[in-house]
Amino acid sequence: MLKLYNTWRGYLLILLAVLSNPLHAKETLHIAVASNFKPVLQTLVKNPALKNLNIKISAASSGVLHSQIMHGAPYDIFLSADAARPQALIKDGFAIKSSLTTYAIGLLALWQPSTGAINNKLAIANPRFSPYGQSSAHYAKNYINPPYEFVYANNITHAFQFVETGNAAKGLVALSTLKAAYKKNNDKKYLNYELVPINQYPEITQQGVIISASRHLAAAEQFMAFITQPSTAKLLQTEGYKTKEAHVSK
Amino acid sequence: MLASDVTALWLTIKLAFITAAILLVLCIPLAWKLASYKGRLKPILEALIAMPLVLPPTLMGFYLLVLFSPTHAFGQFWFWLTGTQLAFSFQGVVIGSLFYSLPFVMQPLLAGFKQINTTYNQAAVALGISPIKRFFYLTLPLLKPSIGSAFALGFAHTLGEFGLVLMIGGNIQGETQVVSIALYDHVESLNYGAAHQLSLVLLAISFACLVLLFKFNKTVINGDANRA
Repeated sequence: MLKLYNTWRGYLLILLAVLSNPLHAKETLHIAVASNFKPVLQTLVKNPALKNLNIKISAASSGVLHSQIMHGAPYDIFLSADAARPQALIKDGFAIKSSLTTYAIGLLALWQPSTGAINNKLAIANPRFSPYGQSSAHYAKNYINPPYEFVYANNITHAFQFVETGNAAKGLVALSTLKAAYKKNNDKKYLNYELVPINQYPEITQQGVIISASRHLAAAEQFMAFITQPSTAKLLQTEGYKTKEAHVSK
Repeated sequence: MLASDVTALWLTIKLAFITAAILLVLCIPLAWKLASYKGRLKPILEALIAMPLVLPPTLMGFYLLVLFSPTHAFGQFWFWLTGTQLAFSFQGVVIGSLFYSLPFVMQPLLAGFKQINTTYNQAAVALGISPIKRFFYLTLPLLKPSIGSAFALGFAHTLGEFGLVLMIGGNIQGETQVVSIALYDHVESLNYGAAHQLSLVLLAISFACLVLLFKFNKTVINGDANRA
């Protein structure tokens, strides 16, 4: 038996065992997703409409994923938190132009868990590289009364953590994060927010693309069709996003 | 280089200096005790000290963020004491760095004390010299290279601190925006030119630190036994 592992026949047997794994009967789809959308995506992939796909999810900030794709990361689909990065990938030939889709529009909420202000710190995502941050900074500068002092978080979820841990009195966070947190913990403090009117900040358009190097194009197209279909859009709205369809009908 | 980068650089050097100095003061008596301690808790204590070597800095950062919170007892105590908040402040980053660089200051000191505590110390004990006198006139002078290494390693390691400051810092210029955060900021905002420049400066400083370390404290780093 031991000798078997040292011979080429042994390796062949192991290889056969791996290849015949039932998981590979399904087509594998590797999705790179901006962290803020990951919880929703995890719910979405459980949908029976996608049961023929074996979906792997890699979550990071859009900037990190963008640079990974430029360096040959083996993703099939990129769901970014902005519009600039997918479009840049198309321009540089890393993504398929016709696949460009607006799958969600991010919504901002001003969250202040307790009324007793502990400080004048306002947590926002860093406007230098986060699209949520750019919209947050725009809104804060024009519509929030001073005094407040910005603290810059790495991304919109990190801004949420600054407020959640009580280190910042209030913060501009994603509505979707608040909804997800409420669903998970059922704590009333996640309801103490004001939805920021969408005409008071630049729209946070989250776009997705299929990566040119993908070897699972049919599966990728199936997923892109799924993520924009009306039933998915309805679910996204309950999870704290706006969608294109809703935009048209209103 | 951008003015904000110069600020970040000075802030980082200040942070590294303060952290290494505080750690030396805290660690010298601790290492002195621990080097001669042979009780059952020794492996546990040594493991505790080495923990920051293996823990992800973001994890330490997250728990510090929780600890610093004004809703937490420690955060409240600090506020009562100083009237300021620890998260997003330079003091907060210093406290984080103390955890982050602890093993780097502690290990050279422990190694130094372990060597000294043998023959020289026994001779001094035989001559009837008091423990306090032994510490100041025998141990500390013999320990000089170890102290130098401990300081330099603590300093150099703090220069590159990232995940922890990212978690508790809030990226505030002149307060919590250290070099690594400024670099991250440049890369994420696709400002590669500024990132390259800043990296080069950081590289040069770190290299100079380590060259000085190896030049003056070869024995400690390489673990040569025949010194002094």
